[in-house]
Amino acid sequence: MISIQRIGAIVFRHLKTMYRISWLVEISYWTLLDAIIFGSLGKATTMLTDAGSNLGIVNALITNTIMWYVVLRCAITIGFCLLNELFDANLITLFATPLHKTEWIIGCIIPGSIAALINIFVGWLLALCFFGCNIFATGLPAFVALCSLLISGWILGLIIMCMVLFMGKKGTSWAFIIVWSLVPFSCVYYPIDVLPKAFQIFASCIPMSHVFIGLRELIMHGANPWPHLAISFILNAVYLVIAIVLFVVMFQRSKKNGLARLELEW
Amino acid sequence: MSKVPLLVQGLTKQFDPSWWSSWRYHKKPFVAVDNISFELKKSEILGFLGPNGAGKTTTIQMLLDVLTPTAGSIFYQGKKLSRDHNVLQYVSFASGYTRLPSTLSVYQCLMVHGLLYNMSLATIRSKAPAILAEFGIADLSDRKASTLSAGQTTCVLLARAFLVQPRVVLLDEPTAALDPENAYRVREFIKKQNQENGVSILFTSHNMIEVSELCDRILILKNGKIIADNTPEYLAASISETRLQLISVDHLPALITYAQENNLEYTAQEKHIDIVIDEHKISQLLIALAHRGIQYSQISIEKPTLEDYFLSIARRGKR
Repeated sequence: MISIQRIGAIVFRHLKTMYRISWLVEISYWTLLDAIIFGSLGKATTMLTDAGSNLGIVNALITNTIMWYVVLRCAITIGFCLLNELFDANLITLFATPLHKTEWIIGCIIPGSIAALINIFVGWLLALCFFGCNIFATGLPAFVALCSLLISGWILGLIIMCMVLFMGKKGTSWAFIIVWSLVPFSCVYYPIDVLPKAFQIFASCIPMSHVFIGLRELIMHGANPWPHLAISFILNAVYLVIAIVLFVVMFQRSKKNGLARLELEW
Repeated sequence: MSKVPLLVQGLTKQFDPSWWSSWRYHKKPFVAVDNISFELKKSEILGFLGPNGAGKTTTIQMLLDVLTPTAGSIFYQGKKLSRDHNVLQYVSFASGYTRLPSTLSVYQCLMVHGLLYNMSLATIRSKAPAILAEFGIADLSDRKASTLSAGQTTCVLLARAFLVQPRVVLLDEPTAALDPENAYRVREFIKKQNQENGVSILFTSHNMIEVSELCDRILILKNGKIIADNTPEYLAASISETRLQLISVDHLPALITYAQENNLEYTAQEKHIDIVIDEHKISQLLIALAHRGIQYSQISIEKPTLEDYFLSIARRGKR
């Protein structure tokens, strides 16, 4: 039986760890930086190519750039929930209580999602102020896209956890490499057709790419985004199941060698 | 299944090397805990001792469900741990080597721990100050855990372990980082919890005086196996060798000659000689000395302690 109280305890523990001014600056900083770079780049490109009136290109670029940080911030925050326990040598104490794995995962997903939502709020505000671009101007599809990206963030967060459980300290850098390596294939900044054929197949298996393709098509051409969003949800559902199974397997494997082994590495 | 607080049956842990270590370095499986069985009775303080590498920590990790046993079963209150993780509701743990979440205050550390044991916030709020006061650290309630000294951290860890009103507490060297005054306070607290609340405690320590003072019974683990299970007094008494000290200025050379002639283990200093001798042979030795006219001004006999017993079993395999 899942205990809301135990989940609440985990959420409190992590939010308390994250809640500080430097963290808020940190999560806003990269979104701000990327939004300005890509927003300006988009504007410059449209001006140079004499398509200055086509604001859709710029808006799509800014929207996707900010939306991408939902995935990234959510995944990184979830990964850090495990790392925080390892830094504090608290993993054994935690699992020596009646806490269940499921409760712990939910307790980590909630701060991850909160971080992502703070991130998108900051992104929305600065896109509106600096570029006059409302990333939620498309209405419901934007919110549905946000939900899909949040789920992708959970999946990547679980994969980061799996890597750390499997490889220990070495797994940390590998985990973040994997997350970042998905950026070129997620079609955040460009359409899927730009990619080489082999990469296009790979990109079409990534749920985020469908979200970004759908959003871009909608913002630039007013196309129907729902088929793309539906595919992203189906892929997310499949990967979420795989990620959960993988997490359970890795956790059991780690328990076989002893969770203390992970703590000792830090 | 009887509802003893803790029952361990045939617990075994074998660490298998990775295929690479096995192939490249010919590493073999290592049995850290080898088919041990014991029980912790209600209101009992059970000392769990052994030399470094004996398998104590491995056993405790299995008892806490953070390490999967290769074989065997663990029952808390008659419920099998591997089938029901919820039995850890009755169990708490503190170690001198763990830390606290660095960003939380002392009270928040206690609160999070209490919530994990499904305690209500109101109960935590009412109990936390009292339990911190028992350790004399009530004023640290709002301090960040990262700013505490090692001794203060250990006190908070112990307060946290007992806050949740456990029936079984596993304490892994809880006084390792404490000064004598705080160690005394902790021992008194443990005794009080044990006597007033009937908490059963599994206690590991390398401080034999502490173990003798606290524990009702002692298990000694060596090379993953239980090699002794009895009261501290019985184990100490099982060592028949005592240390006899004779102080003599004029007859010291004669005493040394006597010890050498009789193949007795001894150490001599300027004015005295310490002879290791079977307790039952002391009278014989004293009569022999009297017959030879060897005089001494003072005599003292040191009875064997738990530490002597521990040292004897620790050295047994090394000789």
